Amino acid sequence: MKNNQKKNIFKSMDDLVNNTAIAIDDSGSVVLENFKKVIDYTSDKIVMETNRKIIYIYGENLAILSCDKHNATAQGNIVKIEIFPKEV
Amino acid sequence: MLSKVKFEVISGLYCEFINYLIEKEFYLLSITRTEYGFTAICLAGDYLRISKAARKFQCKTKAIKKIGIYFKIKKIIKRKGILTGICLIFLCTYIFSNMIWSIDVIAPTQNITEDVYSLLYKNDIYTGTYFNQDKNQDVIRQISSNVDNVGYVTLNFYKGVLTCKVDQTINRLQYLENQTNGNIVANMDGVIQDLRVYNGFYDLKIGQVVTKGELLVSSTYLDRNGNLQQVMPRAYIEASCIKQYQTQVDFNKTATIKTGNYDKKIVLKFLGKDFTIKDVKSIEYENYDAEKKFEYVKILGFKLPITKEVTTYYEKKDTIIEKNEEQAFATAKKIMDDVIKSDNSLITVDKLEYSQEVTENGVILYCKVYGNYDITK
Repeated sequence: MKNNQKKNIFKSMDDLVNNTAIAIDDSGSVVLENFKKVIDYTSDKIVMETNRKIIYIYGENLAILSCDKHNATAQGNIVKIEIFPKEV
Repeated sequence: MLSKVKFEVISGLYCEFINYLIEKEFYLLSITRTEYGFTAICLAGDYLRISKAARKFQCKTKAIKKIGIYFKIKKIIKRKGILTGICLIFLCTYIFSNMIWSIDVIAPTQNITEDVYSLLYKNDIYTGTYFNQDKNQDVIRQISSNVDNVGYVTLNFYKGVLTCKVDQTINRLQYLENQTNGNIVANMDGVIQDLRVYNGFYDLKIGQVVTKGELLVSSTYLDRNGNLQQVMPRAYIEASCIKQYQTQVDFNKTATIKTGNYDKKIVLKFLGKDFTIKDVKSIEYENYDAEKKFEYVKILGFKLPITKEVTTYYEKKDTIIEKNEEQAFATAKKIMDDVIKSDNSLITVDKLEYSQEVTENGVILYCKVYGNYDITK
């Protein structure tokens, strides 16, 4: 029982740390925290993969303003954002 | 160095390449998609590694723009001469900030300025020496005690320029006399041509004939209440006059005349030390005149803190003027020209009339000048 409880606690901790946060700004920028990689990138569409989801950003003149290992900010005339579960 | 490079990636697996760069923790900015790839900004130090890594993903990189100070001063950094020159200029300005670059003496008369310059030189204050603040008071005391007619002296040193301001004293009695008994009297006979009275009482007209000693402008006048008032009269009165000048040249007179031979000695003075550039090897002159001149060393009009002392030795010989009338008249005329030029009251010359006389001893030359004179002087 104790081991199971411990496992559950660690799982919840992992979830907290590796949670993906998406911040959308009305000026036309999207900030993604804890993203994994860029799947597809065109001027109309950016596809990014996170731990559990795949995020589609649609719009015009899209650009990745800054990018490091964990955070990425996309900017442009964003029209639509779609979130799909990852196919396992 | 905070400098960045904007580069373009063409063709290949660009998405995988972006992921690779993110994984390897390259700092990327403003990734924008182009037709065949993307453009991004990276740190200048990372660009070489990025371009090498691009080959793995069949991409080609091309630097579009170089941003930052490093790229701007890159050309100068390579030229070490310019850099050392700039450093030296800063070092020199720091070291020589206490050095006298030039001396300005502001004095009412030329004699006082020369005396002040010579006194400063005696106290080792000239261009090229370090200014000593402790000497300041001593030098001021010396100037005020040794130089005549000096009232108030100030010495200021600012940014390498030493300014010495000297004010002249006025004799108290003379000043009072000028204030009260300042009637302007005509010095010559003539006809008034120009009349400008700034202060005082007068009764004159243009075209009026005045004689020598006549009162032109008086310092006292009666006001409307009948009280006697005194003022300092000031006026400029010009009159057409005739003035006669006279010069005399004697025969058989010995005179010391410069032969034309001279020798120069040049000494450079820097930081209180003397460097003789040209020395006088042999002065074989029996009689000579020495003239000293101080000059600033200049390069393209820019004063350097080095003074040049040039002493010229002119040879002189005693010669006897023989009885030659033409020569005597020629010298007399030269002297006459100098006398007329040195007359301060003469304003314009209309006509000159020469007349001469030969005596046993020499020659006398007369000159009548028809012209306008300032008769108040």
